[in-house]
Amino acid sequence: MNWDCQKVTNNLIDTIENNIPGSKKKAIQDHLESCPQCYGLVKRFSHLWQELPKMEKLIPSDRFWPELFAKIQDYEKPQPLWDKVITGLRNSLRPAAVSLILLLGIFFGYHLGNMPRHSNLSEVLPVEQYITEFQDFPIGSVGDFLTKYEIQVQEERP
Amino acid sequence: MLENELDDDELIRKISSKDLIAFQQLVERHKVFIYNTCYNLIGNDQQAEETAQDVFLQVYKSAGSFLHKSKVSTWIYRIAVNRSLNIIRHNKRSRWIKSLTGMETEASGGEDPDKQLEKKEMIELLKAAVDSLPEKQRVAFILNKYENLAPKEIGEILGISTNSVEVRIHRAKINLQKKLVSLLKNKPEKL
Repeated sequence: MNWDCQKVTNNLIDTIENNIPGSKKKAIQDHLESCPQCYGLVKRFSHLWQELPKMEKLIPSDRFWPELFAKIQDYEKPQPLWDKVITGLRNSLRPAAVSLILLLGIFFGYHLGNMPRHSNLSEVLPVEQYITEFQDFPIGSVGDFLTKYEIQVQEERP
Repeated sequence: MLENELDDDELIRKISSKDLIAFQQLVERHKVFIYNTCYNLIGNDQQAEETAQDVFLQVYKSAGSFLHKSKVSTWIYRIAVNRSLNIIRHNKRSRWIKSLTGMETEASGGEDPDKQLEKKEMIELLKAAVDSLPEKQRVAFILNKYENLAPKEIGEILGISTNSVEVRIHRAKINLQKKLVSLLKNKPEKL
């Protein structure tokens, strides 16, 4: 099997972690022996990849436990009655407010959707009103379409 | 039995009775891992420290309701990952490489300054590449490669199957491979 540089590049991690089956491994080794560029790349990548498990573990600061302890003490502190009432109200009102907004949305959406529609366009607004109010209708616009439609309807009427 | 011999499950049982000594023991045992997980995900040391504290506070509050169906460490990791992801989404920013100055680290063994600089650049390259991964791949990869957790445990932490974890890790490796190769090709030979 003849391996080119692209194939070796695509299998770098498997090569370094020794996850390549026997025949492919031989092909890669043969290629690396003959290609100094790929050999250098594999070597550098290998050094880089080997740093991964050796990444330095960071240590939390000395303030970690005292600050955490302070948070625990705050949590354990008995809450004044007024604070409890406000927290309780906030916790129960929030879902109630969301439900109310949803219901209002459904209510208004339903009524908007069921508003009466006009089947005859000329009953909505006479064409003359369109023409006096909007002097120029761009070609292809709704106004242009309505104007042409109304003219056509009037011409077809006996 | 001395408290320093107690396993995590025993410590959690004591913590549910508000035993602060047991709680401190648990914190000392896990704080480095949790802090590093938070830091690797969030990318900011102060936020990572606050988040790690909040994780342990949550552990303290919820110790009584822990069912012991999974390992305690898995449970703590799950809280840490969820909180860290919430912080990331809240911040809505991309992570930058954080300078290592001003942060305590474990002893590096007295290497010479040039080698230390090379190493620092390599670590920065790696962190930048890992940071640019999609969120799901990044989390799985960090827990596997940085925290040395097995795919099965990662699956328990994230609430997904082991296969899904392995797929995410594999995709992360492919993506990292592409990014690092192009970075290496543009970098001078000393790296």
